[in-house]
Amino acid sequence: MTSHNTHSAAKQSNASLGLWLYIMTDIMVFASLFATYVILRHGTNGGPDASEIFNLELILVSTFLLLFSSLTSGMANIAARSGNARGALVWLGATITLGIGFLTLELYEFGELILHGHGPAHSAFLSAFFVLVGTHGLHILIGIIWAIALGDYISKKGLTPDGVRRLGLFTIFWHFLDLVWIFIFTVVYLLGAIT
Amino acid sequence: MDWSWFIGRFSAEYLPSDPATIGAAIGMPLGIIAVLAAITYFKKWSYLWNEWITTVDAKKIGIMYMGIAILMLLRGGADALMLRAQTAVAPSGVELFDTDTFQQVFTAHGSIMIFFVAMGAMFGLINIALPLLLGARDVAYPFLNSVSFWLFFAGMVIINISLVVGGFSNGGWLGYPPLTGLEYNPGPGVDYWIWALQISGIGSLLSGINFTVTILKHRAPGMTLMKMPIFAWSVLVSMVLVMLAFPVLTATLAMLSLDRLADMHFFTSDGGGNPMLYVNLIWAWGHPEVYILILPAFGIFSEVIATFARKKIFGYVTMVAALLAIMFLSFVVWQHHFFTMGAGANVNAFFGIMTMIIAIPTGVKLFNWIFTLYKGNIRFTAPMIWFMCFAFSFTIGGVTGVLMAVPALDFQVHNTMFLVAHFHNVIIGGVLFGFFAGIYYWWPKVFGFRLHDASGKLAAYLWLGGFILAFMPLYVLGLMGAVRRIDTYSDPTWQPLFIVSAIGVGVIALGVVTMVLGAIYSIWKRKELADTDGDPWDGRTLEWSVPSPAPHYNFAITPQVTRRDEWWYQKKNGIKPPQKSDYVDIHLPKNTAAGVYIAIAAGLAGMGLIWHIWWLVAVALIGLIWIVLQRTFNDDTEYTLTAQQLYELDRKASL
Amino acid sequence: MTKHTSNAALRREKTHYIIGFTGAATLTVLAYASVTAQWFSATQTAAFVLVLAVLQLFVQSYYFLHLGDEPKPRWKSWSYLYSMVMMIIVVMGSLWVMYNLNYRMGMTGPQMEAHMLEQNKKGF
Repeated sequence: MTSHNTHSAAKQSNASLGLWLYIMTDIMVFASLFATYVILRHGTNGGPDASEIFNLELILVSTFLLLFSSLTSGMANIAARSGNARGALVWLGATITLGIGFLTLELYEFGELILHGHGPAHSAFLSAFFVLVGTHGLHILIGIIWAIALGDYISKKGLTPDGVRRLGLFTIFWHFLDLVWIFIFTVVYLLGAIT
Repeated sequence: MDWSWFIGRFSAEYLPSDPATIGAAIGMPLGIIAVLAAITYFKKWSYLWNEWITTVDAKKIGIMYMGIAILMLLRGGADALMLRAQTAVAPSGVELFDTDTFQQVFTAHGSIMIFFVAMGAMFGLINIALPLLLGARDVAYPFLNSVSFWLFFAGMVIINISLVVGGFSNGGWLGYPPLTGLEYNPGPGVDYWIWALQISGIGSLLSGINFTVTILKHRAPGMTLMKMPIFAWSVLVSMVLVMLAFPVLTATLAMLSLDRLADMHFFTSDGGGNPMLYVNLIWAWGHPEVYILILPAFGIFSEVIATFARKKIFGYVTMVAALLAIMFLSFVVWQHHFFTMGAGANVNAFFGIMTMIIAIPTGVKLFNWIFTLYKGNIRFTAPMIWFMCFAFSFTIGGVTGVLMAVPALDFQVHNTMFLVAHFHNVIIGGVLFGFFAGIYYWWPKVFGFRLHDASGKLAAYLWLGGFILAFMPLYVLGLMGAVRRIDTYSDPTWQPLFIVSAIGVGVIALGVVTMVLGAIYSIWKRKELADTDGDPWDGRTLEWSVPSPAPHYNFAITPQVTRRDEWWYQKKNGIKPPQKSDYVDIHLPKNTAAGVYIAIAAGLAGMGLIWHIWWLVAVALIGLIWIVLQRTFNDDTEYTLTAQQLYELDRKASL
Repeated sequence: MTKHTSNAALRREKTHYIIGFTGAATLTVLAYASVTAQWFSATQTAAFVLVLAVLQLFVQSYYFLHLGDEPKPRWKSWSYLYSMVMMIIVVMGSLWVMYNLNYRMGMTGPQMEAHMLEQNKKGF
């Protein structure tokens, strides 16, 4: 039996290091996209630049949606580890809802831009903007799918050791996405708004 | 009726039209059908499925990597023969291939050799040797390992399909825009290149994570980092570079692909885009990639030399320090690949000096190997001969590299045959020779019999001789002004040198044939070459403590490590035979087909993106997510081997 | 392993989350306000919000990602640190190279000539 327990603890620590290293690789993906954005941001091709098209209030709202969801995902993790399955599910549900809210605002922002003729094909600046922000959005979407699958698993099987482990991994991933967003918020939106 | 919603942009014009490609387009499917028919005839499908396709055993995955790498070496080698045949006869008025075909051939040669031969052989050898060297049962994530391999396989399939339909990229192995942009290359060729690299690249990235966690978490008890074999250190550093560099490739290829698919403007010359940015980003991946390939080869040589000189490696700590220095420095030299693009003196000087500095840790390693050999009791087996050939060739390649690190000199030889000779000098003479040494060295551990030694030595000499004939003329041609990637030239004085070079490629081909024949001969004589005690070379590290071929659980009893070269000292101090009570229950991963399914879905998505078949992309991606979720939430992925079963298996294997 | 996490540890983690969230929210609002209310000049504001972003990186890394709580060997902390260093090298290096290239490649013939003459005066 002891052999099984150490085996499962080793699995936990393995998986968490693996996810962590995956996040490190993701940092480099975003590093490339940030560098590209900063280098290409003046390539507006006669179109609008950053100060003309962003709606800062909307972005502040989505920033807070994501920040709140980071908190709720942490709470879900704590609830799960104290054995509170219901609490974990409620907090996870809140995280999913906030994530969907964030994504909806992002899609609204993209839709508005495209409707006004500022789609990604218009200029290098817009390409870099859409792809940097869109890659983050894609990660959020993956996170939401993961969270829904997790919720489904926990509601069916309860807080198995594997379930708690997976929820812990999800929380780390979600915190990381919030952290990336802080830099998108600062570099793309805030610095873009300064003329 | 309009079928374009169904078949995308595919049409009859993409079918092959010239004789060379028609031959390949007919021959390749026929070959595949013949193989499939043979498998069916000999009723080997269930064996293949259960023992290989669904396997999560690192050693079997490693063997499959090696198989693909060797197959692709033949394909890439055939490309090389075509290229040099063309340049040998070009001024005589014979045109073997038209310019566009020639461009596709050198692009395919470069992409295949780097991504599917060098990377494939590297991951193959790591899979085979690393867990055994660490005293581990398996890699950290056996299933992820299978996913990585099958993604690599899917990329390989995609790059070869281009031979049959649609043609390949003509943009060189790194595909610089604007040539690879929509404007100059609207066809599917560049997309084949992008998606073959992208899919196999993601596999490499996952492998990087996998092996890093394996090294950090799965070492045998007592094996601290500083007690690891140098091979494990070199793999660790190489995999850290994979994790940091490959994401840059992924992002860069994604952006190039979006330029092509969604008409974006990252690297276009209009719309505010900047093609120079692509060159910058691709080399921010590309330079570390060079070290990703060479470091495991260095690690193999470190093991080979210590074993065959019967001495511990000289300067272990400086070896590790050199590796760590390379881990950092390889990320601050990338601009030396485009000194001539127009950056100022400050930028060029900085990257030039960094490039010269990175030669120092590399030199340290070479001296350490030489000092290990000094006063050693050396046995000149095939792996040692590969080392000698490497030391000769790699030193020349390293020195010409330092030459080109001087920006002023680089302006003279940039993008000439001199550069081509330089990087073949380090990649053939460094990376490939290292991997060949690894194949001869670890072959008995996986197959249970040694490779025929004399044929291995002969192959090494043929490779080295062929290499000198093929590439020394290119150094001269480069200094004479021959630009790389030319299919024809007007200066007749170049022709003799090009002919010598073509002969050299032929000699290398003889070397390949010798290796293949040697392997076939060894299989035939496997009884005589059998490795009966699992330790054919009188080795020093833990992989030689288990029977050959290594059992699927690697170690029946987890080894306890107290020092470097543990096995060597265990043999000296006398090995205690294990007691029945030493065996405990172990958990092993179950075989799974999910890895294959994920790769099929990824490959189909790639084909959809290449041919603009959007429904296929959607279906494949949804399928992909579905399989990943099914697998992620599957709790039943392991089985237990009881102490009793293990004891019996181990007794049988040791007999 | 569920049982191994003591209640005290969980309570501490909960407190961490509350502190982290408050800190992150404050920093976000500060950054936003400094831009919209234009407290400083453009350059100062840019520097200010970047500093706030880095502060927030520390706050979230410590309170949300629990960096520093890790038992030895601290692979997560080391890999995080090294990735950050490499990220800065790749981003800053690319910016340096690309700005230099854009600056020089964007010059007209006469500009380039003037530039080269200027360089020659330096003596190299």
